[in-house]
Amino acid sequence: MKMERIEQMWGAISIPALCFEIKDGKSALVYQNGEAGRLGKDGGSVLDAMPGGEAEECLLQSAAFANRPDPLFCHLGQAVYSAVFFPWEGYCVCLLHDVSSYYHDVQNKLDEAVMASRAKTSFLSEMSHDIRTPMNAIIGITDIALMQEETPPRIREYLSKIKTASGHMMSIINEVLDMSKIESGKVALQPEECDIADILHEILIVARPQADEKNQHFVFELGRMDCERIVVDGVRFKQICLNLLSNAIKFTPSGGTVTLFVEITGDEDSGKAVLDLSVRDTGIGMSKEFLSRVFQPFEREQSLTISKIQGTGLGMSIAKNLVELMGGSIRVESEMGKGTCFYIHVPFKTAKVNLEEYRAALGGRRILLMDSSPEEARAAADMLERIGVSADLAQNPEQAVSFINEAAFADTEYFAFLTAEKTKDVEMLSFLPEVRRRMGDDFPIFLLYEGDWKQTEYMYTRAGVDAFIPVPLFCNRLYAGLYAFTGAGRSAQEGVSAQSRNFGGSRILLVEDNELNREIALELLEMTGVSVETAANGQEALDKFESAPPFHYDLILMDIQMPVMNGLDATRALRALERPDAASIPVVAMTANAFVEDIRNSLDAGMNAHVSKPLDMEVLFACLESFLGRARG
Amino acid sequence: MREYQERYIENLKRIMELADVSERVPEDVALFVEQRRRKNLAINSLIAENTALLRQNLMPLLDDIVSATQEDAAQLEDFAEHLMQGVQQLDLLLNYTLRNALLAYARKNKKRDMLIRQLYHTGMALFYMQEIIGHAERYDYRWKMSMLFGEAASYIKKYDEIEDVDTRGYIHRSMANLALAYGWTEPEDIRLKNRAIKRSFQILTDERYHEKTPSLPWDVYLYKSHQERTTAMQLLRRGETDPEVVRDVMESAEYVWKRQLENSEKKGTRPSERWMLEYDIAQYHCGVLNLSQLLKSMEKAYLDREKDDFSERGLWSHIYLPAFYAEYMAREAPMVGKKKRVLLYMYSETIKYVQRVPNGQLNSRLTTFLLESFKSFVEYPDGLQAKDFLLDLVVCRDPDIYVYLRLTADFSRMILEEAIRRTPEQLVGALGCRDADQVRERSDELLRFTYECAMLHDIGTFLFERLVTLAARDRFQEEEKMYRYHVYAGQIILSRFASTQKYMPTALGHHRWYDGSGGYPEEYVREEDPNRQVTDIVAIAAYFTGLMDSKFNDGRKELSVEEALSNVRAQAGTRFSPVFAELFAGMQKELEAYMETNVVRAYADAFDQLRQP
Repeated sequence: MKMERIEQMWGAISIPALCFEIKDGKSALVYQNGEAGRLGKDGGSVLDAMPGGEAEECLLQSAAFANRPDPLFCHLGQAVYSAVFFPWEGYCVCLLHDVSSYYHDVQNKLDEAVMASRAKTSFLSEMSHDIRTPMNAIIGITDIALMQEETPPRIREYLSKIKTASGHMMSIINEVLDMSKIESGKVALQPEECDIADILHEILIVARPQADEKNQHFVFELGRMDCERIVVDGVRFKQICLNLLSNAIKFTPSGGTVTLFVEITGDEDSGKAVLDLSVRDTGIGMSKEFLSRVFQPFEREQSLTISKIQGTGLGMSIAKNLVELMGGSIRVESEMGKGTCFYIHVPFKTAKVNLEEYRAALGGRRILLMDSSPEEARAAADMLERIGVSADLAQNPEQAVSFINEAAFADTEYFAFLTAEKTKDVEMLSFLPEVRRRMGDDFPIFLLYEGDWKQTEYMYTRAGVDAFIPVPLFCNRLYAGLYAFTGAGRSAQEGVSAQSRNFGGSRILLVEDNELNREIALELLEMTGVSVETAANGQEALDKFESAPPFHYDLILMDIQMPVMNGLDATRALRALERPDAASIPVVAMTANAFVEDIRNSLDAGMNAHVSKPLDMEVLFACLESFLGRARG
Repeated sequence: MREYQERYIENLKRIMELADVSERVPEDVALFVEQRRRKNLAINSLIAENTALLRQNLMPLLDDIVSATQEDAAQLEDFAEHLMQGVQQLDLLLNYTLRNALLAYARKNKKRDMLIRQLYHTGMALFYMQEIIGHAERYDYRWKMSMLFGEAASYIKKYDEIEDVDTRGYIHRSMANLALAYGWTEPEDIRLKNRAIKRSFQILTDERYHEKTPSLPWDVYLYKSHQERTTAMQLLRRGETDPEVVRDVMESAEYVWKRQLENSEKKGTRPSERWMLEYDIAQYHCGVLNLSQLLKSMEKAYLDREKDDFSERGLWSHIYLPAFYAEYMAREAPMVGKKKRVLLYMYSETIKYVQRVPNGQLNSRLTTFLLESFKSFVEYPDGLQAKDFLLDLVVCRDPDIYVYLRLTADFSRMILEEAIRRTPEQLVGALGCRDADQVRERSDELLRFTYECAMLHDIGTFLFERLVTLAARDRFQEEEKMYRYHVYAGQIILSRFASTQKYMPTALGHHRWYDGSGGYPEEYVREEDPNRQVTDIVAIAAYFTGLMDSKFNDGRKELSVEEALSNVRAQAGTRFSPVFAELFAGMQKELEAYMETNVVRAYADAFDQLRQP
């Protein structure tokens, strides 16, 4: 009776119809009409003729009496059908509509779009790569200018800004390159031991001015900080944070608030820690619909409010991919008109900190600390206490002077004065010179500053400040700052600077095809006292090396991508030479592509290390120190 | 002193003579106004001469003070002393500038005795400067006072190495003065002040120091230290019950009172009512006297006052004593009703007394006394109102300032009248007016309010008068900074009563620019001022009035109505409201006519008010 009823109802219609019976949550095909039967192989079940996944999906959906949000396409031979499910008299009926022409049409367009997208990605990638060469020049020349002693402070300040800005521009270019790397699964992290204070400082000096420029309140909140030395890919981590922050700033109107919160929980002993970070804004927020797509590449909210805001639509996607590469997770909460909050949770390894040196040099000393916030002052005092330094806390200049007076009456002395930049009821530029006069020229005065101190360095230095320590305060930064003014610290510093900048007597072969880059590298290197010979490609380098007497060169700095012969081939050939220094001469790769696989390739080719371009002064000097210093030793 | 220094001091004294409008209340006001104008011209030329003297002779020396000769330094020190003439303070800020320079000189040239002396004197200059800005509840100079006195006092460790008796004296005085750097309001300050006082007492009562330097005036040091310690009474007044403070205050009040009695016995004069009262108050706070007894003691002291004593002591009895009486009476609610008649009588007597103050004594000291006593003024519905206290007793104290305010008030009223007539919609919101019709309906109320606002907008200036009326040269930057605090002082005075609070925003904001791009203070936000249009109007009128009087014009030039209006117009939209500035600029003829007759009339009113029966 039932089958008759089904036949009567669905047998005569001209489109394929299937009828499923549901028992115990499972679905079974009990009927297919003639049209459907024609689609089956040799009159068999139409489900058997479908690809496995599609048949299973049909059974699942019929069991649930529901259509999934996106259409289910069933491939039957060359034809493509769209399946629609609905309940009917206790059964689930499925009608199949032939959508072959629509489907193939869309598929073709999709293929074209994918091709076009690939072409675009490739174009962007190549273009970005090409932009890096002149950027190298800008960054390099800025470094050289900053090294000149006679550079006036104002020009120095401008140069520092150029350096920061060009660094940021490089990161944008890298973003485009990154996405293509991420999409092809080629990104590898380079975790290394670093200081969370340094990372956050570098993030803040970029983000704060951006927020200031838009008249936003930028709030930085520091939660628990169980350890400060962590093992992380610092560059990638900064990239994630800056992506989130620049987005927050971009989509928050003037007068709004952007809050960055960071907390590290865990402990040094176990070697494990977790970093929780959030970026909260009071901006325009996102629609529910867009929230589901926010982490997809090139996705941007299509609202009128943000139509004028520029962006690649890559930032969030890169952030998510990188966070996941780090083994962490990212999530977002948002409400239209109220704001957005991104949360990141990333596990890290921790690194041990050796406090003994600080304790030995600073333990038992007394410091005067002025900060109108008792909480901040207390936190700083606690940090100092860990290395045996005691602190007297003043909330205003009157109290600070009172401590100075008391110390004078009691014939005790302070090792240093630490003061917050913004202290209630005082113009610091009037107060500090008085402290300097009273305490004498050798008394260290530290300014705990927020933001970029370079902007006010000149004024504060003239007012008597010896050194700047960034806030929020981190133990390592604080200890290192104070340590530098102890006897041990001063002599250590003198030793380092005397050594590190003098490689006189060493000879380097610099292999670089780009003339401008060669000139920059030459100037940087010559500042260290080394004598430099140059080659414009791998072949020329190989010829020079071969024609020089053994041990003529102490080091070769080798570019990778060069005409005639690239750096990898040149190194391989060089190592294969039969001469006593062929195996031992250090070859350091210089590459703009600081990706792990590039480094691996260069090591495989026989190179000893790599420095990334644009050449960073400190990294270059460290490299020279490591090879030439060792050789001299 | 060098010749230019002597000339400067002479000019300074001459300026003081010329500027002293309180010298006599004139019979012929028109003649007085004309003479005043001539005097102001003479003052301006002396000011120009003084400024040039400093610029040519002093500034080059100060630019390289560390290389100055010993003789130059000695002359400068002499000059600095003459500028102060005790507590007369002929030129406080110049004294401060010189002391700072001498300090740098002594430090650089390692002249220890001179360094200690300059530390003390610079600290004292800061103390007097702090006294002025303290009226605005600003404490910018306290930490530096502490730094300087502290450094000088720290030489106590090298006491034996220092042979010069005066230098040793400066060390002791600096140590005692460390207490001056702290107030009695914040708990931490109180702790520091007490500690400073204690340390000073410890040294002052240490016989070893007496033996080392017997010629120092130890008695005076001790007496002054006890006087300072009695200021802890402020804590007791606030309800502090710390037994140590109570004991200290009692001990010092008794010491001072005893010394007062001894001195008056020696001289055959009456002991000071002030210190007797301090002693009684100390006894009250220590539980020896109850409030009734204290008030009775005050009433007795008041009855003993000499009616025509216009000395400092007389001012204290006639003005401060009623203020103390009001303050203590208000501690117990029933007393306010019970003693109402007594207090109202005292107030009426104060008014009569103030009007009797003879020529030559209409000085800023009297104004300061009045404003200080205003702090505890009690306003009864049927008695003298707080606003009238300020308008009738204070504002007329300085005829120059009175006339300045009066003209400002009249001009403000003229602008407002014009605005009500031509653009009433621009006044919507003022005094809560909802629309243009209401503005017209309530025009009388608006006019009265604006007039009073203008009369009271610079009430704070009275506490900074020395910086304004006695300027004997171009203003230093530090003076300008100090003077700007007068807006806070005005705000504080007007904040004491609900009936005067409505005038506060104008007192605070009349120097702030309309578009917020300049002026001061930053705390004034035009959008938050409920009667911002009134402040806009008063700001224009005050600026305009100042331009036409060389005494109040920073450029020291008397401009014509036309010139002054053109200045106003040039700043319409930035410094001034464009609407009201334009309205005002269109009233040139009316303003010229007003100036013809009303300046003399305003002075006549000022003198009348000073002498009202």
